[in-house]
Amino acid sequence: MMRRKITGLAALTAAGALGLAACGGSSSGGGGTGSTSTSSYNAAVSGVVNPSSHKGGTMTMDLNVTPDSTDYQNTYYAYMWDFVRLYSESLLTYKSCPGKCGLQLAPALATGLGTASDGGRIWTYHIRNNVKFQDGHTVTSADVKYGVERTFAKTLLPDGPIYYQVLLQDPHYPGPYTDRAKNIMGLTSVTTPNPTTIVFHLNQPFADFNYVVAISQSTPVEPSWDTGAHGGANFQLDPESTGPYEFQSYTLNKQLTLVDNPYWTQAGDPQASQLLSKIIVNMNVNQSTVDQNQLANYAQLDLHGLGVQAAAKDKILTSSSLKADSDNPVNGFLRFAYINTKVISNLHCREAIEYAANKTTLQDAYGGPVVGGQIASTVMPPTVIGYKSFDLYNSVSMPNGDDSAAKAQLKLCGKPNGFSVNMAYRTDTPGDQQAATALQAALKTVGINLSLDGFPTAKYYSNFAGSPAYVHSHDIGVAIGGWGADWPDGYGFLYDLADGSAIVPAGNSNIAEINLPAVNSLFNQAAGDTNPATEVTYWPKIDQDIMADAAILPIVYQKVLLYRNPNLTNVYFDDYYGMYNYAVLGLK
Amino acid sequence: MAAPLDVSPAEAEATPEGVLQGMAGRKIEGRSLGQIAWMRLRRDKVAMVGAAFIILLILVAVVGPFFVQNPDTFHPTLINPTFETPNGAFGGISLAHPLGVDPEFGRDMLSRIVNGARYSMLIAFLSTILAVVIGVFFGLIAGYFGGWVDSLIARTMDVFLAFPLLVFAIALVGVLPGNAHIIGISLSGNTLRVVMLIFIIGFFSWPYMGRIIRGQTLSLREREFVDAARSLGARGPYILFRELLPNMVGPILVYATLLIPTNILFEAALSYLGVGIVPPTPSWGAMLSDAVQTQYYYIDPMYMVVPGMAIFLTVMAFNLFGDGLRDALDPKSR
Repeated sequence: MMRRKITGLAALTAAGALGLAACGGSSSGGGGTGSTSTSSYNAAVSGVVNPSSHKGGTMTMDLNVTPDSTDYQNTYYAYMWDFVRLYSESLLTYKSCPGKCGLQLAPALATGLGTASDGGRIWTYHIRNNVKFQDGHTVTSADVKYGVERTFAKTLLPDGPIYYQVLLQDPHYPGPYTDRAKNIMGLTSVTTPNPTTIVFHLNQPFADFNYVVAISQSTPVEPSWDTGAHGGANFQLDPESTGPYEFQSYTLNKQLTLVDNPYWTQAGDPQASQLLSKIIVNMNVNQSTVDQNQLANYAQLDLHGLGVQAAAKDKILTSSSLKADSDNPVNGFLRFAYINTKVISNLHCREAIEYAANKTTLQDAYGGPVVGGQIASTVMPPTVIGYKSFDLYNSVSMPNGDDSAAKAQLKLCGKPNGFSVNMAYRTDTPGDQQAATALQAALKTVGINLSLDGFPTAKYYSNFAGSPAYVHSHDIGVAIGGWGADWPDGYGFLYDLADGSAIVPAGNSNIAEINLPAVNSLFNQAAGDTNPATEVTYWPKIDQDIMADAAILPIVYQKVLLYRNPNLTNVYFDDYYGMYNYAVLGLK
Repeated sequence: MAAPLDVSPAEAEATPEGVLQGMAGRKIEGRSLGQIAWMRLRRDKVAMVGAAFIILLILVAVVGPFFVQNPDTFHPTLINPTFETPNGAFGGISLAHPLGVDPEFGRDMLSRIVNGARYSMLIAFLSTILAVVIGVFFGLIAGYFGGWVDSLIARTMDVFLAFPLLVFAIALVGVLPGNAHIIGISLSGNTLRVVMLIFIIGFFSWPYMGRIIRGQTLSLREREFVDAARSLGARGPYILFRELLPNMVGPILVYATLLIPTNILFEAALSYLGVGIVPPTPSWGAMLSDAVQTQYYYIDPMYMVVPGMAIFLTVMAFNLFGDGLRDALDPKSR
């Protein structure tokens, strides 16, 4: 079972906390397809703004929080996965190009995508010759293996995803710090037959393994670097760089300075670029200060990439010149409500909720059409590979709710006058509370009474909505949630939400308790289908099955308002990360 | 040298007591302590303004909700779809919505304030009564009996005063079930929350009252009238409740009045933290919280100003009245 970390926070604060969908683009930093040079509203959503190969300049980035870690093997936030590529090179990455183009996998350290054998249980990668670490040593496959081993050291490095532990054959490997027999690499399920080949042996067929190695955790690390003052948990203070930049100085959680890595070559890392001479990151800056700094050009980028707050939004949208320097894309995050299939066991009762929900007021609850999002009718957002548009419950055609259809469903359900049930939401997530209020008001018109039950975000998934026992005993029929995927295909987005085996006693993400034999078997078939062309056909079917079961009420595909500094070059919105692509930025 | 013994005419004509100023033409007669205090209070214009505001507020809380529109009705036409803020100046103030509407949904602010007053007042008054009852009872016992009883109660009060109350309240709400059966009464949703808030707030504010009553009891129990009662054969309960308690009505009234605004703020703080009244039922603290959390106050300041002013004016009115009451009942403390 895999778990994707869910952003517990509000739309404004945490929308992209998980790896979202990928997007990438042209193979070099100099710009890609669909280039545009004039800046206009949403210009960077589909094209490259200010393509240029001009080198030099110092870029300042502001971050309103502190990252979980700057160690690329130990971070689980979309903005950090975007950022660490400045000083790391994983086996695979996403194409550096705007729009859907950027959702495609591209080789980085590897020479090509992995080749599967044994029905998707064995994955082989070949790495490029002459890629160098920042100290001039040549990268070998053993270094990649060591990087993967580091992800098993959960006591020291707890924050990263756990895909390798779930998928590799020896899940109980304790990590290199406990098992450091020099030159005897303890992880037996990863083999390195020669210095440029690495082979992963999985415990189950897993067609999406390429997406797993596209996460920054597959970055090579030399065992000799990971010792002493910059080893183990302190590795993040000076992580060994294989990317275009390297750490010059880092005061933990305050300020980070990156400078050029002299051993980096464009040929060895085609999806990144080295146009800047220095990058400064200020951390823990109040978000309203971040917004002001961006508008005043004190900082060129908001690292968190979740968009500006109300005050700056007002300024940007009321000024035509500022508006031309902003983008308002869908960022791959879904706002929705789970409808528990055990608590509300009658399908027609669940369908009544789908019909009666007023999607317009729900959209208002998340901030409206500009920063809230676009009204959703499917589980998968449009930025996910395999997305197919359909509108089973007239969400888009009748956004104010279809009360007569809802009443008809209530009759079929045997409760023509409605029913009462509880609804869980996160109190410290403002959009969620407003959405709960809006949904309650909309359902009341057809006689469905929701009683609101608020919980703190920190315990929402572990103790309350994510605990099926609690949900059943407290009659929680509806729960508000938010979701982003670790990789941009249907498996990455849907598995934890909808697979029957993903239902767990605590920390459950399948809060609707969807356990449909048809869906479960589609997931199994997809995991064994290593042909991307046929694998992609499973996702719309699963999406439609979930919606037909009325187990999820999609609310909005989240949108953010990003300010794009006019001095930045090669800027475009990256559909995978749900923010600008940081690896290719330059300055005029 | 002998001092002059004659009395100057001015002093001879002085009125017997300052209290009678402004009472010209009225017969000088004997007055009870209560009457004198009432006269002093009536002369304190600031306190009277506070009292008038409090009476108005209670009226609004009791009958107001019957005269305003439904606080949960959405008015999407009054909202700018881009910014999600009310159309028009000052949060969309209009004849139909004298205090404007809230962002996103366009709910009438006046009706939300009025309905919020009902809950704020209800919780503040009932929790204060609870705190006074517990505080007076234990304060009397501790002060009168002394010894280990006093030590036990006084230390218990210290524990309560040192308790991280907000943390406790948040934790309690987190584990609270959606419905509960207390002595045969079934409670759920908001009713349960209100009862729980009253108990939490009342239960944690009684030590303030308890300490004051204990101190008063300590000094009063040595007075002659208590000795007299005791020598006539009166026992503990009689002395406590018939001799000591009536002599403490003044401080009890004063501190109860001053406890109410504290409890209003406390309720607002809990609602602000999301552990108060369940939305969409309006509450002043929750309205303030919404304004801050959603960040709309940057572009629609009225969203924060309206509930903020409601809390501010109410707390100030109670404090002014409480101060006036204290001055009237105990002029020495001036």
